[in-house]
This record gives sequence, structure tokens and C-alpha cells, in this order.
Amino acid sequence: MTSTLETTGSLDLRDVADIDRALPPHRRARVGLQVWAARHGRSIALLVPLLVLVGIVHAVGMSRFPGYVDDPGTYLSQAWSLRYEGELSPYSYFYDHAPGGWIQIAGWAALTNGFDRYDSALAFGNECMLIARLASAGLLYVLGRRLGFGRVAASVAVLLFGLSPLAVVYGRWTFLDNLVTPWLLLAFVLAYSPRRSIAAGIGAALAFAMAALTKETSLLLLPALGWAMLQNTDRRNRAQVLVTAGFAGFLLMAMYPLFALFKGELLEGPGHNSLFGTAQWQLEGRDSSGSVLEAGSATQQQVQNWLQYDHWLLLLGLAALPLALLVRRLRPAALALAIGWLVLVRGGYVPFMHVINLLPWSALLVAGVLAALAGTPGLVPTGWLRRRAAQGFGYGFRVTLAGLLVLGLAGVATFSWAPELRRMMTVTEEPPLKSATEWVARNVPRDKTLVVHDAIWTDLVHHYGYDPQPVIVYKLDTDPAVQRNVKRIDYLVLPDWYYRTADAAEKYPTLMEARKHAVPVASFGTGDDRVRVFRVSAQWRLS
Amino acid sequence: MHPLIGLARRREPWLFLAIGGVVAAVGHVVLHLLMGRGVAPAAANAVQLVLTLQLSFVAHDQLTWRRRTAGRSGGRARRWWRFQTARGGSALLSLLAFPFLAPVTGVTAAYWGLLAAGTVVNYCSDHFWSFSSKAGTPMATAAPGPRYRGARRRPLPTSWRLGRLVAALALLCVPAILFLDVFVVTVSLFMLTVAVTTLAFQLYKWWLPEHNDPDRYGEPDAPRLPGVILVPMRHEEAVAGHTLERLANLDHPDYWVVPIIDHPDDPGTAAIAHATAARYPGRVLVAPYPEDTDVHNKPIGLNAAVRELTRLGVPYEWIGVADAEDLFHPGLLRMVDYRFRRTGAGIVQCGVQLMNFSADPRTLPLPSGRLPQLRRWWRANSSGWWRAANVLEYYKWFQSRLKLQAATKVMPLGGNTVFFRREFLEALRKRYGAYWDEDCLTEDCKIGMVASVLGYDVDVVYIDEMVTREETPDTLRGLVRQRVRWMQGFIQVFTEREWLALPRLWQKILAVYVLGFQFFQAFSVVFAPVALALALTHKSPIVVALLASVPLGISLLTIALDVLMLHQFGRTFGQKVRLRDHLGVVIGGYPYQVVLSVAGVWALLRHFSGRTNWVKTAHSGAHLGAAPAGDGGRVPATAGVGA
Repeated sequence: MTSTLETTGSLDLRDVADIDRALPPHRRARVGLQVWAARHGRSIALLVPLLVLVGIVHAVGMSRFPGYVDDPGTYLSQAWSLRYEGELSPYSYFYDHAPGGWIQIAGWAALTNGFDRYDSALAFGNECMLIARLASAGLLYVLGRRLGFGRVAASVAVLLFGLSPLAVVYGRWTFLDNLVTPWLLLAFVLAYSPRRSIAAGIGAALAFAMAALTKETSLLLLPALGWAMLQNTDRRNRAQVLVTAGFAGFLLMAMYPLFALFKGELLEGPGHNSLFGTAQWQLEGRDSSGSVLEAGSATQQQVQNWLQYDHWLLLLGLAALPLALLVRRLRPAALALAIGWLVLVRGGYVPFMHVINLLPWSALLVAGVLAALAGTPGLVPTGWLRRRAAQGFGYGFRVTLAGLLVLGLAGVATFSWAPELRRMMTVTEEPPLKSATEWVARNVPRDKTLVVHDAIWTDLVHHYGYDPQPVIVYKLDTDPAVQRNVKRIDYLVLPDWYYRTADAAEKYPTLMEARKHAVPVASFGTGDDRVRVFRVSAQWRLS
Repeated sequence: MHPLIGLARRREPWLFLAIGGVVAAVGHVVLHLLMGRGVAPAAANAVQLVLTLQLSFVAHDQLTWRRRTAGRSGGRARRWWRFQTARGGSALLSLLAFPFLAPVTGVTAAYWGLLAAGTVVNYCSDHFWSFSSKAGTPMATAAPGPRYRGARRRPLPTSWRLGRLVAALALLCVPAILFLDVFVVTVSLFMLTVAVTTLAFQLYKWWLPEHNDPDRYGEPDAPRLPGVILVPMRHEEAVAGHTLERLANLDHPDYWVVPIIDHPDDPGTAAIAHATAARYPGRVLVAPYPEDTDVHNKPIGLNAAVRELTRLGVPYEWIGVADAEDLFHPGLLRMVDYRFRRTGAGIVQCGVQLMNFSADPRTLPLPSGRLPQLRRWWRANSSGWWRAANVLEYYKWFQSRLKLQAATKVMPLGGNTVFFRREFLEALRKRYGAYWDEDCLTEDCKIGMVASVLGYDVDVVYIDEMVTREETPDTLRGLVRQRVRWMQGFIQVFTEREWLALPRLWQKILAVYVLGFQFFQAFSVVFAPVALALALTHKSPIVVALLASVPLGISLLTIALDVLMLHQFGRTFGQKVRLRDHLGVVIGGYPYQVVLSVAGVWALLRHFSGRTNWVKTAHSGAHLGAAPAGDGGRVPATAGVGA
């Protein structure tokens, strides 16, 4: 380097950029870091306490509230199977979801020995959800800033997303959608990268592909992401960015059908599961839960359930949607939220965790509309919403209005959300299934065949070593391998709602038959959630 | 024992055996196929026999005995008769002998014994009768001089080296077959690295919007540095006048144009050059090619010209290199002058761009002879695929790869439209004793590497209007020869180990990568489907198969980008890109890499067999044969661009 300077430096002036490049790498890195810290120091100082707050609200009490539902146990059993058996599912994988979600969980478990750190797999699942929540909240802040929000507005988005009781309840459950959220937000963050490099484009596409591999329903948001990317690309490298990014995302997503193809399970055929077969069933075969606009439909019931926890965030988000469409930078995010709501209107099958997909976008749009009202120049540089003067009546009025709205939100948080959150953070009662698991471990020999709820399967296998492995209840009548291999049933460990479901006799014929030959030996909890342990008569044999 | 060793050291017996084995295997397959179709065994065997006989005749005629048959196609009919008779006779003899021998020696011994005896008899009959030098047109002596590559007897160490190479490959195959999964994973990871880095290299220009800013080079101010443009010329009567005229009229106040002419060898070009010099005194100066050597190559001429300049005391601060058909943009020198002063670089490399991608027949001259339209149509359409790929290669090299390599300071240069600062050339001479390496096949690649070693920056300037426009080699054959030369030159630069003197470790790693890049790329594209097929047929774990399919996917992306860039190329240079051009890029992408890997293997074989000279001799041969400015003539024009 010195020789270059000696030989050529004396002659003429060099580029300033080249002088910067002439620094040794470690000096350059240090300078870069200093510049970065100077630019983002205030944001970090703001974001860290916000994340701590969100983390505390999420984490305190997450092992007791909310109660156990089916899906988390399934995903954790599949993650366990991948980690310890190298299979995508303890049963035959039937392409119900793309496996990205539990591959990530299994990866984290492998890295940190996750299944051994807690006495229950669900607790490990909770940890994963906490990480996802913190990542989502952080990314929401960054996305807000990249869209042009001020720091206050970006913080409002994080708080709305992190403190809404609805978000807390659904965010605590180990659902794939909760893992989708950070990937989707990351995709948008990268799509709005200020450097507009090909790398950012590829990153956005790969993040989106990860979201799609985690749960295929996120593919619905592709138009929104595409719009966001188009908004932010530069004329000078647009074509290359779009082609490369599009292909990279496609390639990663293609791994899923390729996997099925290499396994010989892409197309339907006799004697094996298939990706297309399951997809067809999911798209057409499932019962519609109706449109949210139909009175008394299951979807409407579902929405009312959601609103019981918190109606502010969802409804404010819905209200912000038309306003957000007026702001150019907010339109792709508005489209994302609109797609989420349209799914509810369309009238197909709507899973009950669908609300998770609405929450971050609602929070972002509410904060975004506030920022637009206040006339944040980064967000509304042009158009009739732009701030016309740096001072004066118009300016003061708009800032005051936005400030009042923020105060209103603070009021909502204090009077509506705080009591609800306190309840969620202070539940002391142990979930009945957990108590039942402990009872079973103490009282049932390890060689008995158990039929159990998903939530406790992994614990019984991993911590208590039941061998043969217990049978997850709904596999009893659906999985051919189970039907072939399970010859007898000794115990049933299930919440009561399984026996009370209206179509129980059709959905779980074997279970209902076994129960007729069984006596309850232990009982935990009350109501529909009550869990009873039945011992099945030794005389009864599966036909 | 001596005659036997002598026999083993010759090429004919080995070729004879190899061809015999291959032909036998082919015959076996044909037999099976025919009988599988329900053809009667006797008929199938007859067909098989006739077919294999013809096959082996052609192979022996073209390969085994090519030293004797070369250039004597007239005697082929006679050789054919002799061959058929001899082979038929020996087959008949063994057929008759077998029933008598078998009861005495046992079936196995009889079979193998007859086979061995038959082989020896056939070899001898070929050697002394069918393909003897007397067979064919009467010729007292063989063809005048060594005309074919194999005609020169190579020394023993060469075959040893080749043998060792083959043995090493064979040895490597054993673990590869035993641990196929590991092999596929390793190879896939390697291919993935190559594919991703290839992409990164070729996308550098578009990586950030600023990289593609038309104003990034700045507006040149008044030129201040005197300079010289060297133009090596040899048998360039067709273009010399035009080129020199153009070069003499560039927009720069203080420069010389110096055509380098071999006077006794090339009076035509010399006359044109001197006429131009007379018309432009103080601008054009003719430098003579040294008379004391028979070798003609570019670095010798360039070195001689620089010595001549020093002798005459011509003042210069930079030296540019142009080829005889290069038409510089009038504003190029101002830009170069400005960039030298602005960046302090030791070298400024400006863009070179091949132009003739189009499969449109109207872009080609009408050939003479029968059905000229049809032949031109066929020629244009059948060569469009590789011309488009070649054009795109340049498009990517000069816009992206060279820039990234300049930024990382590991840099093979292009052969023309390149400008050197005087102090860099002096530093070069101080360290190596010469400016350009006269023994290197790709001296321009080497000089770039050396610049990095000496710590000089390279500034790459690609401005659409200013690129020097060139054409692809005329034929695919020409392209392969060009590539073989470049690749061999790169191997040469690699084995000279100058790159080990690069200051940083990552630069050394990058140097290996850059020098080996063409091999890696060709290999990885060609092998990608094979790896996937291996993984699938071998029933590897699905993760392995998925991994193996990623490089294939990335090569599809490369093709998609090629289509995009061809479109952009057409728009930039105002050329119409037709659907069939795009189709050519899509369909031709893979075959093009196959062609490159053939060139790569050839270059490797040539390197290992120690042949570093034939391109030059063949080159001069092509010229002496008065071939129209063909592939040979154009080779040095673009040499070394192939980073």
C-alpha cells in the first residue's frame, strides 16, 4: 500500500472514495462501526427498553397462560422427531404444512440442547415464540423507520404490537404463524433497504421464501412484497435486482416440491401421501368456515373470540387501512393487511390463529397513519398530506392531533389492556394436562401403550421414555402405520372436549370404542378442559 | 527386450488396443440391441461384424495410424480394401481354428489365446500392410513436414506425466465411488461456491445502483499527459489504413501512434503504415518488429517498440495497446488521461465489446459458391448460440468482473484498449527485466497480476459509447482454439507462481480462483446435472439430492440473467435482439459451457504434455496458408480477456 502511495500519490489528486478504500480493513471496519453507531445510537437506546418491556409482558406467565391447544404439541413433536430421529414427523409426514417452521425449532433445539433445558417441550416452544416475538418487534421498528416513520411512531408500532392482549395470547402459543411474522417483516425490511443492492433484494426474497416454507399461507402476501420491492428499486439496477431476487426466492421455495418429488410424493398415488393431494384437500376439501360477513358463521364467531381479548388493535388497524392507502409508502403494508382481512371475507376455511397475520400490519398502519397525520417528511415527502411549513397553524394542528391520538392509545393501553395483561401474567393454576403428565409418569409403567393429547407427547417420549411411543389421538384413525402397528391400548390421557365434540364418533371411532372399555383413574381441572386418565380394560383388543 | 519396450513407448499399440476395446464394446451393445428387437442371432451378428469393422477402420485410419495416413486421403479406398481383407481373413482363421483348439486347451484358453493371437496378427497386418506407408497414393516420402499435432514424437516424460494424471484421476475415482454421498455433497458445495461467486462477479456492476451510474467516471478535463498508442500489425492490409487513420485523429493534443511492422515479412502493411506516417508527421511513427527472431508474437513486438521509443527519445507518460482492427472512440484518450490523473492508477483498462451476436443472416457477408443464401442462413443460425454467449461473456467481463477484480486488486487484463503508466512499465522492467513477458501465452493476464504484486491500481472504465468494438472468432473451432490458448496461458501464469507474491492471503486465494475460474465454471455447469443424476440414481438421502439440485438451479438463474442482459445489450448498442437470439442463449447456455470445458480439458492436457508452442506455430501457419483473416489471425487481438 505504501508503495502505491509513494509511486503515484505525489502526482495527482485521488478520489476521496479511494482514500477511504485505502485504509486497512480493520480501521475501515472501526470507522464504519462508529458511523453506524452515531447514526443509529438513538434508535438503539429507544429500542432496547421497548424490547425489554415487550419481552417481559410476553414471557412472564407464558408457561401457564394460555392453556394447551392441539397444534403446538404437534409442531414440537415434529421438531423433536427431526432432532432425534432425523424424520420430519414421528408419524408419516403428510404435507399438512411446509416443514420450515419445525426445522427452525429443531435447529434451535440442536444448537442449544433445547429439549433438555426444560421439563416440558411446550416450555421450549414458548422460548422459541419469545425469540420470534422479540425479533418481530425489533423488525417492526426497523421497518417503520425504513418506511419513513419518526422514532416515536416506530415505537408506537412496537408497543401496539407487543402489548395488545390479543397479540400476547396468540403470540405465546407455539404456532407456525408466529415464526412466519419475523421472516415476513424481514422480507419487507430488506425490500425497503436504502442501499437498494442486489443482496438486499435476494435477502428479501429468501426471507419471504422462508416465511412461505414456514407456513405456505404467507404466499398470499406475495403481491404486497412485490409492490414494496418495486417501490424501492432503483432504475439503474432494477431489472437485475428483480430477476435475481425473484429467482432466489423461487429456488428456495422450490426445495419443498422438490423434496416431495425426490421422495416420489409430489403427485397423488395409491399407498403414499402426496403434496398435491394434501394441498388439494386443504384448498377444496375442508369445510368452509364461512365469511365474516355472514351472521352466525364460524368465521364470525372466530372474529368475536379474537375481539374478546382486544378489539382496539384490530379495529384501529382496519380503520387505518383506507387512510394508509393515501400514503404512497404505506400502500404495500396496507395491501398486506387488506389481504389478511379479505381471507376472512372470502369464506373458505379460516384457521383460528389467522389473526396473528393481521396484528403486525395493524400496528404498523396505525402508527403509520399517525405519523402521516403529523406530516413526518420521510413518510409523506410529497402529495397533499405533506407538511407545507415547518411551523405555523397547520403544522401545530397536525402535530397536536397526532399527539392526542397517541395519548388516546396510551389511555387504551392503561384502561383496557393493562388489567387484561396483568391477568395473563399472573395465572397460578397449572394446566391440567401438565398435572396429568406428571401423574402418568408416576403411576403408569413405561411399557404401556398410551393414547395422548399432542401437547404431552414429546414429554412422555423424551423425558419419561415411554416405549412404545404413545399415540397422538388423531393419528389413531388416520395414520396407516399406527393402524398397522398398534395392537392394544392401555391408557387414554385426553381433555374431555375430545369425547364431547359433536362428531367425535366419526372423527375418533377407535378412541370412543376404547373409552367404552375404560375406567377413569385420575382427573385434573374442571369443565371442558378437564383431563381424565382412563385405564382401558386388558380384555379389550383392537380389531 | 528392447524392441518390446520400443513398442510400448509408441503411441500406435496403445491406441490400437484402446480402439479395439471400445469397438468391441460397441459391437456387444449393438448385438444386444438387435437381438432385443427380435433380429435373428446370425443376422444380428453379421450386422454387428460389418458395423464394427467399418468403425474400427475409421478409428484406426484417423487416430492410430494418422502419422501415415495424414494428408493422404486419396489412398483411403485402397487402405479400406486391405483392411477388410486382412481382418476378414484373420476372423475366418480364428473361426476355423477354434473347434480344433478348444478340445485340446480348454474353451477359456482357446478363446483368450485366439483373441491375443488375433490382436497381434491384426496389429501386424495393419502395421505392415493395410496402413503401411506404401498404401495409398504413391509417395516416396511422407507428408512434407509435421502437419498434424501428433506428428512430432513426444519425449517419454510427457507420457509419464499424462499417465500419472490419469492414474491420479483413477485413484480419486475409487473413494468417489465408494463414498458417493460424501462425494456428491463435496462436489455440490464446490459447485455452489463457484455458482454463487460467478453470480456475484457478474452482477457487480448492478450490485448497487451507484455502480451503474453513467456519471461515475466524471467529466474529463483538459488532457495533460503525453502518450503513445502501440498497434502490433501483421498482414492487416485490409484494416490497417482505416485503423491508423482513425487512431491518428483522436481528441488528444499530445500522443503518438506507433504501428509495429515486420518489414521483410509484411511489405503490404508496411507500405500502408509508412504512407500514413508520411501523412501525419508528428503523430504516426512506424516501429520495426525485431528481425533477429522467427517467432512472431505480440509481447516481442511491444517490447521492441518501447525500446525504439526510448532510443528515439519520444516523451510519453503512458502507453496504450490497440489491435489492428480496433477503432478507438475519439474521446477515449481524454478520458484515459483524466482517469490516470484522477485515480493515480498504474493501468487503465477500457471496455472492449464483441458485437456480432445476432443470428440474423443479413449481418454476415454472402459466401461464394452454390446456394449462398441458404448457406449464409444456415451459418448464421447455427452459430448464433455461441456467438451470443461469447458476446455476453465480454459484456459481463468488462462491466462487472474486471471491476470487481480491480477492486480486489487481483486482475488479469484484457489484451487491448489497455493503457499503462510509464512508471509502472519501468517498475516492471526493473523487477522482471522486460515489459511484457515474451514467453507467456497470455502476457496481458500476467501483466495484470504483476501490477497487483507491484501494488499498482487498475482502473476499469466502461462507458457504453466508448467501448472498443470487436467481433467473435469466425468459427466455433476458432473460439475453442482461442480458449485453449487463454486457459493454457492462465495455467502458465498459475504455475509461474508470481501470484504468491501478492501481499495478502485472501488475494492469493482470489488469484487461484481468478486464474482457475474458467475451469471451475465450465466444470460446475457441466457437472451440475450429473451430480443431481448421481444423487438420484444412487438413492442418496434427500437432503443430498436437494443440495445437488441447487447449483443446477443457479445455472438456470444465470441463463435468465443472460436473457436479460442480451436484451439490455441490444438496447444499449441499438441492435435488434430477435426471439431466436434469446432462444439461442437459453438453449446454447449449457452447450457453450460444454465447449469451454472441452477447451479446458484440452488446455490441461496440453499443459501436462508440455506443449506450449503450437498455437504460435499453428497461428503463423494459418497466416502462411493465406486463410482469410480467420480465427488464428484474431486470436491475439482478444487474448487474455478471458478472466
